[in-house]
Amino acid sequence: MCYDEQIISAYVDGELEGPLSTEVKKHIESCRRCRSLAAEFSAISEVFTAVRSADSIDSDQRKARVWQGIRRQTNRETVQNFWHRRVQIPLPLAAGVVIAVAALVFTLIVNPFSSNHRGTPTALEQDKAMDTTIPAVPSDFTSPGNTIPELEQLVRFLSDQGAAIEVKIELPSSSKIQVSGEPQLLRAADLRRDEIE
Amino acid sequence: MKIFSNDPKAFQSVYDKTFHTIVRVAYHITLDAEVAEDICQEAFIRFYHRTIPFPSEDQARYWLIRVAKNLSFNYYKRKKREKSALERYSYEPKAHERNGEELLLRSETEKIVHRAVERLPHSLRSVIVLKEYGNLSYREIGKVLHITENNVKVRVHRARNMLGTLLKEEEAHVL
Amino acid sequence: MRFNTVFPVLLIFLGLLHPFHPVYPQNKSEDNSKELQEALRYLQDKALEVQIHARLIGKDDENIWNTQSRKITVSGKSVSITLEGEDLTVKAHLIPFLNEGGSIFLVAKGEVWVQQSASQEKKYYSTVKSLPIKPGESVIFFPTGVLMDTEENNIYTIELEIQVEPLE
Repeated sequence: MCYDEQIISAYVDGELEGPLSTEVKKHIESCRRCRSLAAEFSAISEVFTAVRSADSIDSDQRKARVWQGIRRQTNRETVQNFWHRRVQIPLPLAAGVVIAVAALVFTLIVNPFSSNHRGTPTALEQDKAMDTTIPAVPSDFTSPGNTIPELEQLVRFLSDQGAAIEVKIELPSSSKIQVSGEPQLLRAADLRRDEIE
Repeated sequence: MKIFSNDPKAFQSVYDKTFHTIVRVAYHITLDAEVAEDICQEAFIRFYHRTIPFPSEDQARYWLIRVAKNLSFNYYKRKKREKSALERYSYEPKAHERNGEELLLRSETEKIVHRAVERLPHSLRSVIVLKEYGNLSYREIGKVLHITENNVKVRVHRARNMLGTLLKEEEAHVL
Repeated sequence: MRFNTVFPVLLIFLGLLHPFHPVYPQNKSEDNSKELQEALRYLQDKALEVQIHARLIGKDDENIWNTQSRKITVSGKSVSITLEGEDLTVKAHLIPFLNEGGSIFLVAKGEVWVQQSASQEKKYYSTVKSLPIKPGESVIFFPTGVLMDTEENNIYTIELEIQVEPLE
């Protein structure tokens, strides 16, 4: 009895397990039909082998050139990321720098909400003091000797105040995005993209 | 062992093991050596940017081959749309010369084979390209295309049957 | 303490403190610095770093395009990502909540405005999803759904990989 054509095809590709491969080989030697089929499949494969061996696409020079291209591109991205690199600063130093800068600014600019400011601010100083991107706050934040509970109020106020932190991204032009139903939120570990052996 | 694509050693190892496969696959789909190089570069750069690690080096390789195959088919489809139907049969694959390298000459056989493969349905074409140009096993093809080995076997067989007829038709047309 | 860039964060702290903190006479400078340290520590406890990696994914999980961004927020304050395409606008609002024990609860709201063809009206979809996550754990938000099998080659889906960590 002849084997299925798919088996003959797999045999030609060397994809059969040992015992089955031996059996198919024995059968082909004695069966004209299956021998002819195997020869036909082999011939098609040999055409591709001839084409493959005639090309010189897989050369060391090409491999090195592509490698250089990858390095150039990834190095360029590393330079662009330079200004967005992570910086590690000890907390006391960070606090010290903030204090020093704040102290310098406070000596130059008079706070219009404070009742302890030195003398009457000039028009220029007042303009500078008002020129802030932080929105105006209720007056109970400005009394001296603020305690932690009032700072909690401040943080809550800042949390609620104004628009969310925004990121705007332009998608590549002529991208066809599939809108396929409900959005999903999944843990990356649960999302099995590639089959694991 | 997990593979992090931005680890230099891991990247180099995957590059060495995968370059020859994907440059072949890309070249024989696009028939353009320069484009094949660009596709290889693009595939590896995407690999570099992938933040989720791969479970193994093999999985990384399969992923790269898949990306390169898709990029190649996308390029070829785009190019085909730019040509008229009449031009298709007299299409001369681009012989390429760069930096004093030898001109890549294309045999008539290669053109015939390419046209025959092009006429296969997409699902069969992918399998044949990976098998005959990428020299991948049924198991590897299954991993790249997310199908079973048995499915690969069935598709290879069907593709061969069709190619037998298509190659004869292409030869007759040329003669 | 870890920052994405130093200068903007210093500006933020400076801006926070400038209009509220009065100018004291010299002998209250010690109290000032103590309060400042406490304020910094308090803000630090509430601050969260949100890392977003936005991708376009094609057939066979092919990574077509990607970009990434890092934002600092506080517990309960949204980070909104707007993705503008030709016939499509997607807004993903990510609101992380920092729990007492240090774990994080992430709420993700997706809004989509899409026009399938020139003759049709723009359609609007909106959904809210939530998930408890560990600091640094990767979650993936698909604001337009997961990519379904399709014969077409140039169809993509949007994927946002998100990690949230307390700002140490």
